[in-house]
Amino acid sequence: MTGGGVSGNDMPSLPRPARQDVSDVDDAFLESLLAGNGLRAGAGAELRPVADALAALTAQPAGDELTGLAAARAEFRRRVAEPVRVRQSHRRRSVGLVSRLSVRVASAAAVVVMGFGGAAAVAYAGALPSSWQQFAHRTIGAPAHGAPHEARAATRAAGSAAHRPSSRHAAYQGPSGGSPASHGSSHHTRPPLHAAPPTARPFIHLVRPPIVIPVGRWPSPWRTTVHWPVRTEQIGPDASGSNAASGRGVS
Amino acid sequence: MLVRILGAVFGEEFPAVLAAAQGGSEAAFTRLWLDANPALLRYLRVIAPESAEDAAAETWVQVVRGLCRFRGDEAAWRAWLFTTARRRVIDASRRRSRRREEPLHDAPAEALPVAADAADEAMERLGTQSAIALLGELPRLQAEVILLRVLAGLDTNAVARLLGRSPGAVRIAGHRGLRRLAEILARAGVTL
Repeated sequence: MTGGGVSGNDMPSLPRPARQDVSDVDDAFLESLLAGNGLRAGAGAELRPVADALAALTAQPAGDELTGLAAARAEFRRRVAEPVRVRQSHRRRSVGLVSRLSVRVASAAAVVVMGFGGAAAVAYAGALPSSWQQFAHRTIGAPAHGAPHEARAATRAAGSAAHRPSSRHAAYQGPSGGSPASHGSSHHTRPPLHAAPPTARPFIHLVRPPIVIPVGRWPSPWRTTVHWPVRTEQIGPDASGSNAASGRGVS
Repeated sequence: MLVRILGAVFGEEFPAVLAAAQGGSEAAFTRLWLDANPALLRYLRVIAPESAEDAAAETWVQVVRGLCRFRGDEAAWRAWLFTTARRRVIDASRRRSRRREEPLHDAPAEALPVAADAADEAMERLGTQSAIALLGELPRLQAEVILLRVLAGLDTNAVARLLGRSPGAVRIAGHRGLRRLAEILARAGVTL
């Protein structure tokens, strides 16, 4: 291209590199180069310099390309190696702690279970001290303190609070000499007061103040008497006059 | 013949090497670094020639931070590595664009970069640096596609995901880049 007033012959004849038409190169050859498979057979010579350039691009690393390793390793030690080591040590420590704690907890649980079981057995045998026996009587239905052997046996057989009145009735058996079965099932049949012989030794007599519940308009003999709660009175040989008071509630 | 410096370098050994590195083995991490860093650096020297070393260092910091959470095969590892590097470059270019830059015409003449003719340099010694300089002559997308496919060993679909383009666009860009590279080399008089 020349400017105005300048002939084309005045332009110097510059040598120009040979242009090769690469637009007609098959895509398969290009794809082979991109996939790293090199120059395929049948490819044109115009792709040879490209293949060489790509080979140079993937040549072995030079020295300056490996200079950042120390910094990367330091970062790796700080971010990965040390935390992993700390986690592993914590895991080992926690596993040991858990095992030791498990042994201790299991031992403590076994001691507690054996202790309670033994205490319950002793309580049902009626061999606990008085206050403890009373506590066991209230909580787990063990025989009350001072209850005779038969009552304890009945309590053990019957179990729990549903039969507590039986054990209380059994308290009558000491002075009256009756069987627990004859009194435990019926609250109407109290032992005759006159049948209780005065003994030289005072004893505890459980007395139930009656709660009278009229049932309909039935006559008096059909009333139902419920005994609750329990009250204790001391009755001695010289306290025969109080027997009349203890007879309250018999309807 | 192509000598691959990255690609199926580990092969079946890769899961064990990765697991060892994730478990804190510095030797395993060193192997990963030695195999990946040269290719990573060459890629960065094309897309961010002024800050390639810094970008590579930041990339490894990011990779080390996420190493224990990484799950995948060797191809996924390479894709993650180069994706991280590309994001570092994009972040750095955004930071630079926010800074006020001195206009070039105000800079003294001796401070202006002297751009060597990449084709002439390639003629003198078709080494790695010359090849990198040649690829720097290409449009960004074409150069990236060629680098990611040849250096990182990624297939078309992986490169498309990494660049956010369609596989067809990536394929076309790669082919156009190679044709343009052939034209540059032919213009420089390289005829074999």
